[in-house]
Amino acid sequence: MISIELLLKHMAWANQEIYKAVQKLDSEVLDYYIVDPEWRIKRILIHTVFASHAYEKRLAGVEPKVAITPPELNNPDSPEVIDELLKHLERIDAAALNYVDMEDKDIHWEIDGEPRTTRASTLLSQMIFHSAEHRAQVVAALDDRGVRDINLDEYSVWSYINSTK
Amino acid sequence: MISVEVLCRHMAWANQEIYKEVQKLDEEVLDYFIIDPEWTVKNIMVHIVGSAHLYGGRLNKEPFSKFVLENPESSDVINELLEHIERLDSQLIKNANMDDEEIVFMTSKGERSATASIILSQLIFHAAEHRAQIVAALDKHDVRSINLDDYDVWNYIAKN
Repeated sequence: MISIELLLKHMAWANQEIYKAVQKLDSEVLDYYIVDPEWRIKRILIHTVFASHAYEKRLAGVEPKVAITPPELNNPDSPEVIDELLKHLERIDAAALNYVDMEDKDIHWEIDGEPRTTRASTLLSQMIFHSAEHRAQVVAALDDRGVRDINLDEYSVWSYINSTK
Repeated sequence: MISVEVLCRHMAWANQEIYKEVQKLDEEVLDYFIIDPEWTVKNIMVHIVGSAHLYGGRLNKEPFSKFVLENPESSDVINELLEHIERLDSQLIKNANMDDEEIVFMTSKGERSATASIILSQLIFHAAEHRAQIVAALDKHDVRSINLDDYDVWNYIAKN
């Protein structure tokens, strides 16, 4: 059986690399978007972290009867927000790796009093997929404005493996 | 242990759904791109399937074979791609249960090897990334009929 472990390790690495690469660019890029101004690059970067935080908390079984509180950001409107997001991601992505060897059991929680049940594999798979999709959207928004500094090919699973050698 | 099986099954479903959604659109969308005219929507769609053919062949220890489309310039190309990707993804779902063994394969630069987990993980990630790029290219041209949120793992589980 092929474990999800490598994809979690790749996610953790690619999140750090892409966020740091965005951080090196002019802070005005944080306001770039493709077509929907609601989904600017900064919003996507924050959304990815908040979603991963919620998935990890559900896996941990923390307060299953209440909504997950997003991690607090001290400077949400400043370019320094990326430093905060990087620290949160490092913590969340490391925690997610702890679930690799668990039994694929049902996880129970509630949303507004409504019971929900999800397999652990679904939560981890969604976490991986969601991050990958949004990283691609961040780079697409940069590409669309002619900012070509980030080449997604350099953040593939092959590249992650090479970075570990 | 949590395996990649859900991600393989989700990939197979999302590939079919997104390709069929693109097929419903005006044919001209196949020529849309974000910034690099080499990476049109059609070229990305062919690239995803071609990569699945290559990686799948490696996972199953098949000799190298070039991925060839019968009608690459025709409007029927999406039907052809859908048939190929359905066949390839079905096999890849089975690969989720294989041992994580070292696999030796030939490349244009000579013999190489990788574990099954590397090949399969790359394949899953690669398809997800490129599906997002297809929809980004459509969004850029204000074709908003495909909402990626409808094709996440939650939706796959809910509909299957």
